[in-house]
Amino acid sequence: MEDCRFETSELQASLMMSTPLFTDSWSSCNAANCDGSIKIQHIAGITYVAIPAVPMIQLGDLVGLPVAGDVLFPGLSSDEPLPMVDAAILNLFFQLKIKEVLELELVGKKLVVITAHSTGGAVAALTALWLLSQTSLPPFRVFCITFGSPLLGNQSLSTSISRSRLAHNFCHVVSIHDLVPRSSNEQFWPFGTYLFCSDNGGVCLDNADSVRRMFDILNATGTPNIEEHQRYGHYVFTLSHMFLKSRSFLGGNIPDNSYQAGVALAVEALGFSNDDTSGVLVKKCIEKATRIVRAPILRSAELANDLASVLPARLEIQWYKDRCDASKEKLGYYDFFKRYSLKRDFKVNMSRIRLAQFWDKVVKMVETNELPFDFHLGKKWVYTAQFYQLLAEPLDIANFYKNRVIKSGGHYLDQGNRPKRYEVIDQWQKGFGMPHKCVRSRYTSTTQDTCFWAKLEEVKECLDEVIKESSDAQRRSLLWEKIIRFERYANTLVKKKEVSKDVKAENSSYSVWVGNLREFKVKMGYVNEIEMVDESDAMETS
Amino acid sequence: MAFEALTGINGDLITISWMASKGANQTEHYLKEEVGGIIFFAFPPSFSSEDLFATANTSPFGEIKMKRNQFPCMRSIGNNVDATVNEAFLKNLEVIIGPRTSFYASVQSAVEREQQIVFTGHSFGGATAILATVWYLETYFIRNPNVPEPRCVTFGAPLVGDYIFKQALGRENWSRFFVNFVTRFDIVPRIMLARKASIEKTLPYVLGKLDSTRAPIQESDQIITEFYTTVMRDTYTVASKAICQLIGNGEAFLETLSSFLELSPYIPVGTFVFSTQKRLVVVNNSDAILQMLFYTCQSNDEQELSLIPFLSIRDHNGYKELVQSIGIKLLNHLDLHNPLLDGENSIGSALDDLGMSTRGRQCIHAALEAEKQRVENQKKIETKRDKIVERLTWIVEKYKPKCQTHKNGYYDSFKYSNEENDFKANDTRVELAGIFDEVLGLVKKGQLPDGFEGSGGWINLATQYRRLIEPLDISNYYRHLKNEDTGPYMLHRRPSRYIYAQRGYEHKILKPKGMIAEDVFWNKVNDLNLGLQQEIQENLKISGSKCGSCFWAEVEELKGKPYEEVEVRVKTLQGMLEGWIGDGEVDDKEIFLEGSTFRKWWNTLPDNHKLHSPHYLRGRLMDETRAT
Repeated sequence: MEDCRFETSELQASLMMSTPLFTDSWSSCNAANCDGSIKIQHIAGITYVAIPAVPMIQLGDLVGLPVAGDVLFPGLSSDEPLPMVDAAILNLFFQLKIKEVLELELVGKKLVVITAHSTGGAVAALTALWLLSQTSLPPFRVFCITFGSPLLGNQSLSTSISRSRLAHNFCHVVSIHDLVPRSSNEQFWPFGTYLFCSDNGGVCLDNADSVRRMFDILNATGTPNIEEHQRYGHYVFTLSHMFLKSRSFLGGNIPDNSYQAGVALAVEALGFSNDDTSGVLVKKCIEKATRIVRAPILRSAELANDLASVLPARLEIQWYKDRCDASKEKLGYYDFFKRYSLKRDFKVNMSRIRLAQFWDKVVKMVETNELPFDFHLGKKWVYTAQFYQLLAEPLDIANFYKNRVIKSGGHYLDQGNRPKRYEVIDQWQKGFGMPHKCVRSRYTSTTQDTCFWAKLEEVKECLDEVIKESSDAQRRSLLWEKIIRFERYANTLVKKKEVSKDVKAENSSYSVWVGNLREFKVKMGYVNEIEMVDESDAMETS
Repeated sequence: MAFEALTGINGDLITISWMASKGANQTEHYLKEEVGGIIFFAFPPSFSSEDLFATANTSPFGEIKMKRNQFPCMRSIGNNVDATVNEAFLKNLEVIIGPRTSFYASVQSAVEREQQIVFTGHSFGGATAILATVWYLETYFIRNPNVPEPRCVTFGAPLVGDYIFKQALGRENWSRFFVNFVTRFDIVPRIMLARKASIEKTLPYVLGKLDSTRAPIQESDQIITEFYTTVMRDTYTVASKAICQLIGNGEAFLETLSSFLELSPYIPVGTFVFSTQKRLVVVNNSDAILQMLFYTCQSNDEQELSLIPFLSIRDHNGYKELVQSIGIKLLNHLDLHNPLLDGENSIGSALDDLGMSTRGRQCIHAALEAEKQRVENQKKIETKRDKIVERLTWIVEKYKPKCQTHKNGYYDSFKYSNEENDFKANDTRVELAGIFDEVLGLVKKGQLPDGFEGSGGWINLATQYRRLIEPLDISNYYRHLKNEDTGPYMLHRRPSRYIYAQRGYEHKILKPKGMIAEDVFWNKVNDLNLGLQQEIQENLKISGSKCGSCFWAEVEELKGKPYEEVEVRVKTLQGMLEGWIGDGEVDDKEIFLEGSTFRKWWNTLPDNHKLHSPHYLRGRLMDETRAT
């Protein structure tokens, strides 16, 4: 591949090994293992938390990790199936009272390394995960460095760690001869960066599939050695002095191509020869892991260009909205689009689809780490995404209800119906801390609650059902409650001018619904209590 | 001679520089020599720890930001960050240019006689020479086109400044004035890459050994070995982090790892000449030099490993031999255009001479490739220039005149009207935003050559773009009432592409005066005599009056507010307007039109204010009102 000119997996490893982090972590681990208790040390501005290795425990049973909503790991994204961890490790995590110890010790710290050897490594990883998956990120940076740690959990744990963009906080140092880190249980899955090392050097792999492939190669070729698991002290010492000597290539002619040369060097760093079969397998594994076509930085700059090319589509919708607002029929763009009778509705639908495709692509690229790591924190992209959502989500809702089969289909806001891109964009905005809103002088150009129409569609059905009197009294009172809640909510939005004028258009679905509701109330003889409540509300706030 | 073509200096100049540098050892502050009409200023080295790490400085590498008013060019313009240099070195310079020495007067007289100056020094004296050159460039060279180009020649000098320092010299096209000689193992050019904390204890001892006037060193000195190992370890960390970043894919892991490391900010600047037994290797690329500083010092075997620490001290005093051999040694130039990795040609064997391993060569190759990529990026951008010009021309020649027939200018037309042309203008705005944002992305990440930010062509184009299109962005912002979502345009929502363009323009305009935009703005405000300075600063914290192309944003913000509340801002805006019109920042054919938002708003201001407004404004706004 022409664009991938260099190979960094070995460079990353030797960078890591030359740092004080590498040696200081190990000496902390040693201290913790000697004492058999948690050791906390401060070296050059970094807090090292070392967790002791506990020998003789039975690993291999998975239990579900309490995620999302639970107090322990609320921030971890929880897709089906359930993330699971080793039961014995979770048990140790509680037994060692790590939570209690750290809650006190880490106050005011800036840089925290959680480190451990062997079984302690898996506890360390769980500890780091606990620190990182709180609802808000900790006020310090966390780096987890393990030595010869067994695997912590299943594939879904690995995926959810990388989806939550936490994988880069983990570095697992693993000797290529050590068996402990490779589980025979196929359900266990690696996550984070693996630093595979031999007496000749090291290589970093950060993609779970590649790490597993490497495990397979090592299982097939290596000579397992039980002593190996205790030799990390030796590796740390040797490898941390490696930089003093120059590395010349052993296997004859170095490839001309820089990328190939880099891979060849990496293969030798793991103690394999580029010529034999296992060496070739390692080579393929590294190639697969590191070949990325374009650097994310350039890719994101290019994305700005792609964005410019879909922006006309957004402008088209904007224009469409303005013209609908000005129309004689006094319908907003939501209702026009739902009716879908004019040629321009067709045109704007094309724009809607183009934009959806673009943003789906962006969301997917962020998720698969193809873009720079802090991409979704950039001001430009957050605002652009928000502007897109404000304008386009009503159309997506309209499209949803236009095509819905009333009996069988659920609502837009039901689980799984709302396009994922909007949920991700919501997330970005939460992480970004949007500025506070100020008092508005007139209706906004786009309704601030992008799901307003979806909510309306729901209560529309409620009202219809209540009017028809087809259901029993208990259900009717539930529905009525929902209607009243929405009415109140909508009134506040309107009062705060947080809706666009298409909501208030004379014949809009909302206006029609409000009319129907009023009529129904009059018919039933309800006092219009809601409006009175609202007036007093308004008086309090003014 | 080829050497002169590569470095801009000839053998004689180097010899005299070296002799002057040696001579300076006997002086307290500097030595001045005049040879063949050229003035040489040489600075003596100091071998005490306080002259490497300023005593009160608590930063991990003894660094400090340069003061912007003293060194207006030494910063990144777009990103708006000042360069960082070693504080002890900077302090030393301040003493020398201060009243305690005659240096300032000597330079002054050389400048008056338009004589060329060479700043030079050996060892830590070289650091002073580098900063003195920068000071000279900022103080004299930028302000007066008759001042001859200076030269800076150092021998075994430590690194002085950071990435921004290097970038600034590159942008101003000043890097070519600096030539640094380095003998292969000399430790001093590497010292500043080590953390202060890790070398602090052994530093005084080693500095004593480096001083050639003291006793010679032993081959097996444990402290020296330890010192060498420590410096090399940190050098390696810096160099490999740099290369990973350069060629990597922006891995998040690297980012986490880096945040736990204290990495030296210093980076090589100018041309480096590495010498070996047989050769001189000339390198201009900072990234490549950084890699060479590490990889030329690695050892091949145990024997070398035990010898190199000793050589790292001895080589620091090997410059006499180097200077004498300049005419004799083979010369190699390491750059983008010379193929590198095949061992047969001379560059390959030059790298052999320097003891560069396979990995080392790769890193150098990668550094050069990265520069090549930056050049490619620039080429790619250049291809869009025509398109930009074409779009801007459409705005100037078609859109603006068309709008003016509505008597309200393109700002208001864009805001209120919904015709085909307005739609097209919006398309244009968006398309240009895409192009400029792409450029901006590259600038921010340092993916363009250093010279790009200083290139007049782009500054002009970006200025034209900013003046023409930013009003449309503002118009769009207020059309959609985004100020009610996210506050005033000037608060958070002014796109960076305009901010960068503005900074580039201001730098270009103000550089010959040695001034910075911030000061110029506040001076103008002070001239308006609006009251207490502190209050005014508070009032103008978020104000469109800081840039002409934000004129409309300020009008929009002032429009809805009671006059009493914003009196200072209104007056500031009026105070700036005439200058803006003169500079072409604001188009006076637009803003005074009958239906313009500005005109309408201005006429709602209290009569008393209007009567006391600047003459030109009353003339243009009140007369026309009467006429209609």
